[in-house]
Amino acid sequence: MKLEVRELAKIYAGRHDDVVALTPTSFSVEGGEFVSLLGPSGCGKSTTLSVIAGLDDASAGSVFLDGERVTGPGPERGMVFQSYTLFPWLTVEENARFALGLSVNARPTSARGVANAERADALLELMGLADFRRAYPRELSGGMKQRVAIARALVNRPKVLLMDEPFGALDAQTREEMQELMLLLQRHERMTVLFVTHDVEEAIYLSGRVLVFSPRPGRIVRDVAVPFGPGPERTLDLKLTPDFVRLKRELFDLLHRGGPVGDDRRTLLDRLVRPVN
Amino acid sequence: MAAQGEAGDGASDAVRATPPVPRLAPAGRKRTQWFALRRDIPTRAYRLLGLGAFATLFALWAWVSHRESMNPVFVPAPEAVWRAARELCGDEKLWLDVKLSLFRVTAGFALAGAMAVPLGLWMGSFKVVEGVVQPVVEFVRYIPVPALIPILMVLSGIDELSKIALIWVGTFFQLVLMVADEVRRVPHDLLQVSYTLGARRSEVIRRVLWPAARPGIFDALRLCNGWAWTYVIVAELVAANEGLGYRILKFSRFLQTPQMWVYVILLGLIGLTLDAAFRALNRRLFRWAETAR
Repeated sequence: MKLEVRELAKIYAGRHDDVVALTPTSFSVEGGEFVSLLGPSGCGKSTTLSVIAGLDDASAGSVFLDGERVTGPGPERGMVFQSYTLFPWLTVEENARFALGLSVNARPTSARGVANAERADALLELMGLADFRRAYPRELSGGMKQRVAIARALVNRPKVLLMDEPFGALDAQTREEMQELMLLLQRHERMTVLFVTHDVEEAIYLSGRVLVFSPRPGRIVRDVAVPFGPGPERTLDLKLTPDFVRLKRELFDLLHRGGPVGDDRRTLLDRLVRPVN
Repeated sequence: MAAQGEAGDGASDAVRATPPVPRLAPAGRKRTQWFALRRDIPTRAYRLLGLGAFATLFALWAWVSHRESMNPVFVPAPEAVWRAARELCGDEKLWLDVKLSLFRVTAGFALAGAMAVPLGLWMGSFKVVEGVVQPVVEFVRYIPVPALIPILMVLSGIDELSKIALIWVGTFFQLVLMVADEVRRVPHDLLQVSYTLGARRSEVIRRVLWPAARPGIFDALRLCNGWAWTYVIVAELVAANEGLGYRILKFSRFLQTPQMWVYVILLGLIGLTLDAAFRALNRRLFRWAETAR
């Protein structure tokens, strides 16, 4: 598996001026990698993911998956959104099996005939949702909804899983649980993940590589290899090690270059609570 | 961070030595805030309020009708209406009227629904269809339906067809727009995610847009059914030989006010029953929906 993004750019036509959301950007992802796109909001990281998913058109450049040019959405590029996207009229189990009933999986000769009910069940089990098969999405917590969404995408055995701030709407504790689950899944499924986030710690903790984006107009300012191996050494304690904290600080500074971090607290406060004349 | 961890351990020690829980009144016993914004009130109180409103209306009616100065032809007394009702119940004309009006409403409404739901689904799915259909529908929708009666009579005579056609005209154009709106209201992300799961366009319509919009469409049908009853009466007032609307007009010609009131109250009861039936069916069919409609 190889995902290649070549000179991808996105320009929106604005009312007065064109808005450059993403300047020509290139990177590639190998099979089994967990790569995070890290950046402030509006830096084009989500746009990049949408284009890779085939849900959005690029203004220039192109995306290749195993040498084949991406022209539209497809099941080999599964996606998990920040908003809860479970189908509310289907139970947890029916949601997880949604892809099974689609024509892409109906043809027995197709190479995509990998999705089946056993896999859907096994994934639900792995996600700790076995007892909730018959529940409807409205009965689930946010974390559970996202777990179903991940299982539903993985049923297709996608070549790459695209995740757009999937834990952005969750509370801190649930978010941590979901991060553990992602690490477990990655070990279990050996999947390739492209993960969009603005959370520095999350990016480092989950990824093998972090691509840091600059604010708009977005471009990749650094391609950081995370020096921690995959597997068992990624525990919550890792977040407390000096190496982790140093890297976190480094990426944080990259993100906030020229921002208020350079100011000391006094001047910042003065600016915020300037007396009204 | 380490200091925080220790603080956490200390806290868990404190948790182990939990003080006894003070006795608290159950939440249900709390005094109800009757005028808190949007706050629920006890179900029983809610129902009683509705009954009370009906009782007040009834008392007001009884009082007004028994005043010396009130001519019973204008406002008949409740007992006069009750007598008329008992008389009419024995008359098979009443049941024939109900049956006929019900048939007309159902026929016109079913026809409108059968055409508006697929068309609305198309409109909500494809901008091209919307571009063609929407202006025409908006145009017709703003023509007051009674203004169309003469035209409809010329086109479809004065028999059943013209009444059904009137109901169809009155509901179809509203319904198309409402169905299209419900389809457009389906979250875009649901469409996006089904594409990334491998769904094709036709599958997205059949397996996502349609099921997601169903509760809303069903609710639109409920509203349209109410309007259909308005139009059947209009149609029957204009040209008919039986039916609830026709009978009301006939009673009025002979100044049989109590009988008119019986029919009007009956119309209200039929409306209330149908509305409740639609709501109950909606809840039963779409238990998964986030909010009770």
